[in-house]
Amino acid sequence: MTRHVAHDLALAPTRDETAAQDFVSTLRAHVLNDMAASMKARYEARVAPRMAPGADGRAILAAMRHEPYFRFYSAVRVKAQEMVWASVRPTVERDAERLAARAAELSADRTRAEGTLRLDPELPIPRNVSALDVHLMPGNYHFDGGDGDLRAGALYENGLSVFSFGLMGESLDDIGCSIALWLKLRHPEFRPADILDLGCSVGHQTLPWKRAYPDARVTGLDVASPCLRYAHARAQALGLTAHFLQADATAVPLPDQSQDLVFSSMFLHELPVEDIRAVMREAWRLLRPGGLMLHYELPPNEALSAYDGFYLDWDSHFNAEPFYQGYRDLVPADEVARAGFDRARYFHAAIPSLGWYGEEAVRAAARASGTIGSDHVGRLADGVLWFVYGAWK
Amino acid sequence: MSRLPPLPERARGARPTFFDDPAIDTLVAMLLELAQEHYVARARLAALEHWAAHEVTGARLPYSEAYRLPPEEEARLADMRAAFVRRLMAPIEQV
Repeated sequence: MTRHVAHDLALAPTRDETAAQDFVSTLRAHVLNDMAASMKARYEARVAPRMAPGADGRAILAAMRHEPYFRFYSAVRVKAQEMVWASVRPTVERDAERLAARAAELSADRTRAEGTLRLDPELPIPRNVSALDVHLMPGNYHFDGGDGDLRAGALYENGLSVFSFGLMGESLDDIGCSIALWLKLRHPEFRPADILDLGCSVGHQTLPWKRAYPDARVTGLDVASPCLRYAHARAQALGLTAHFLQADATAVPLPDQSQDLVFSSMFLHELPVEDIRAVMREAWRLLRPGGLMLHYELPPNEALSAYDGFYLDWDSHFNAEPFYQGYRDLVPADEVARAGFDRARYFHAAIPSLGWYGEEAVRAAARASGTIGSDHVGRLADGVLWFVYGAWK
Repeated sequence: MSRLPPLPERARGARPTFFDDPAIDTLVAMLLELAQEHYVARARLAALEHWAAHEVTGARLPYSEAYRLPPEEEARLADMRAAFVRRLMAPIEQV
């Protein structure tokens, strides 16, 4: 259920606002667990028998659009998505000035942590960010009202708490914690000194790397200044030294061979294909020999059944994620090789959620071969597994 | 009053609709707003009942403390909320 933000940047919702958020979390859990299962059962009973052999996810969407259950599922899911943001926005607005003041205090408090924030007011915001409101989040991630504005970051973190109905852990960092643990167990010899998180938003998946590798210099990069202000203050609040940099991941202002681990989390699918390729080329450039590029992402269509592909691509059509389906049509191993990595050093894995399955399951995954083999992979629902892929340089 | 311009209230772009008559999409949205408001009132009532129970038994608590439900009451409310959402959505299962 909703795990309300509890660190020093926590908002002060009224009891009614908390109740409204709890309702949305419960509604989303119902849609993504119960209704998703009912919809699949209806597909198998009523739609699958009349599908042509080899039908793909697009063909299934075309057929399902006429199904009354799909229509209700989708109408409820879109409204629930809108309610996520609507349920936290009033609190964010009311607390904006207090939040900005608290962030300034945290930034100045070097006894907690020694992180930095470097903004670039001249940075052009790419069209894939400036031209739409991804995830139907009003104002998107980059809406900046001026100095000290970190509302988009607050809206995102608090909204994500509602959105994920508890599946992303106490600090919304289950993805980062699960993957960092898996990497440490699978490659205990790998000790990165410099770690870069591309498209870090509020840094919630950046900080697990600092916990996993305390001696590393950890940097989060994003184009959205309000999210970075929030990420910096959030890291300070949590007592973790991390550095946040406003830049475009397709042209990172860091030297060649300056990083050991280049990571991203749910970032590539927000980009057009040419930008995905540019990001991977940047990863290749930035990595030292022996370094690792690692992406947490949605599983590609080639690895899924046609129905699971249809199910995941719902967001591309109805949740303002226009590049999502095109991303999932790509073959990760091909893209990694195109960027300069040796295809033989490509790998992927499905990593159990640490919060859901516990540490022993992550240990077992670290010993296993990189198969996907579950329709829980990449799907935000009870029992989620996180899909990662990457390559060594 | 904040010095900052207000955050936008709505996402840009056309709102997706799914039914042949988009009025049904509108009604679904209205129904969910109403359900949310009903739950908010129900949660407020639970808190007031908790506070009132302390009042009548003489175990006076500051209102700000009593209005925060103890964990077992929050868990009960969460179960009630999940059951409410299941009932609300049950008619769709007949489709």
